Amino acid sequence: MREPAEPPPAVLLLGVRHAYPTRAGGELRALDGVDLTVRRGEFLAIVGPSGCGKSTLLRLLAGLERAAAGTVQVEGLDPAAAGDLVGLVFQKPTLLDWLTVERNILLPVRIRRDRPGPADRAAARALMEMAGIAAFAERHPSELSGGMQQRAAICRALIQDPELLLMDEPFGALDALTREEMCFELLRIWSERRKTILFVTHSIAEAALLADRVVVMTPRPGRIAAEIAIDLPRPRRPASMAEPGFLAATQRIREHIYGDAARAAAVGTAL
Amino acid sequence: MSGAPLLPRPSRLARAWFAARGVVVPALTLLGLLAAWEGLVQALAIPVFLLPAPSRILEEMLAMWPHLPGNILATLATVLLGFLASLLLAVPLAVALAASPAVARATYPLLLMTQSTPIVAIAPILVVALGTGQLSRTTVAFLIAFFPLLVSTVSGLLAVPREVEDLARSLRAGFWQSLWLLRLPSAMPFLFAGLKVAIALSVIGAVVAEFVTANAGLGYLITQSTAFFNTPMAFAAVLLLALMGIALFGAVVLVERLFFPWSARAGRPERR
Repeated sequence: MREPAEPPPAVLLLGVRHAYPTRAGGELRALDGVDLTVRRGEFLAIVGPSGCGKSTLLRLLAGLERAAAGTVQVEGLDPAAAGDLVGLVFQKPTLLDWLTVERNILLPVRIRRDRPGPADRAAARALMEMAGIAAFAERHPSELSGGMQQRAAICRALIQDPELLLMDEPFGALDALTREEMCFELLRIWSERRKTILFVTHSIAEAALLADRVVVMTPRPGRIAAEIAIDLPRPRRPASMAEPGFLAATQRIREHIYGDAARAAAVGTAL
Repeated sequence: MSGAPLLPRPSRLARAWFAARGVVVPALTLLGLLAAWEGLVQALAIPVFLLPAPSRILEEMLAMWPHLPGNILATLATVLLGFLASLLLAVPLAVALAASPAVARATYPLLLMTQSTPIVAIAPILVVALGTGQLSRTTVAFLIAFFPLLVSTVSGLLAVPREVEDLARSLRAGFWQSLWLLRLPSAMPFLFAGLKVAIALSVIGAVVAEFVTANAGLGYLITQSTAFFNTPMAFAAVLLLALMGIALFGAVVLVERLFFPWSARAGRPERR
């Protein structure tokens, strides 16, 4: 193992630009001049309205697309070479109906290496225990609730023990109660398996509750408007949402998303 | 008050009726139709070569019984060979068409052309080219079953959800891995929809082929018996063909339920 003097950050983005061609023949600028560094073990949330390029950012880091310009690095590597270091969780669970939950979780092993061995199966078992879905190991995804399916999807993203977990609105399709429950589940999982997490959401409360730092993005072209450190003690609990630190953080995020209108409204309520 | 059933529990007889009515009602309809047919033929004294009564058809079938298995097997062989050939060619071609727009552009017009040509019209020409044997008959059954199977398999491969594609690419799955582990299983409901059409069309293709060239088979039996005005025998052969079609369709459904239960689930509306 080579050990450089200073280990590279988990994620490094420098002057990243990306655009999609439009049908009219022009281009849609999805990202423009994005600079971002994510420390190892950090929980970073990215918030912004639809079309601000937050999903594009994850796609670049997952190696699903290549940036038009700029530097994109995961653990100091090009994303194309960092496949095994990255786990991906989508908005939909994207489990395969014809495989049992356990086989779904082992799919990355099957694709990246070979038939899963006893060690892999033990790892899958441990993950399912941790996520509270061990009882469903031999079930098929269609027999599980949405929240349980998304837990399985998180287990699948963790099976290769990645350094970086990319989550693209993972709880966006769940009902409000399950969503909150899943947030605390994720925090518990994160405290057990200290990964770097990049969590894209358009829920301000979710971002503030989960993250160490929240990045606010603005749309067309996607740019980083602000980085807000969340000053809220861990472990976070449902009660954390009533603390002044949480309220201050959500207010600052809102200001950056809605601009002065939000500030005026805040003054109004304060008076 | 609480816990008391709002509706009286249905009687045992009523429940038995609910369970059986799916079979009983169509069976009664069929029996009624047969009885009407029988009565009409008797009452109007319709000559047997014009329209035989069901009882005459049954009589003829029993009389011909020793000759039937050979003819049934001959037709069945053509159906199954044509069906298998269409499966073995349609699936790989569908994979190529779905994977490469260039292949799709190059072959789709040609495929459409073969499909728009009436197979009945090609059958005599095929006999000239391929001879009067099994090869000609299999080819006709294959040509008729092939296209619908190809189209539905291509649709299935192209209907793979974007997230599944992303998942495969994020795991750096190769073409064959992605095909085998993700795309083909995900296309199964479409493939089976195509197979159900293809097996029914194979029966039609086999009969058309036997009309043109055969010395055995149920289609051959129809041409032979009508040539001698043995209409009851022709009807009996048609009945056997219908039964064969239903049995083969049922076999495809059974294979799907047994080996690809998720595909059978996907093709059915949610029960309960």
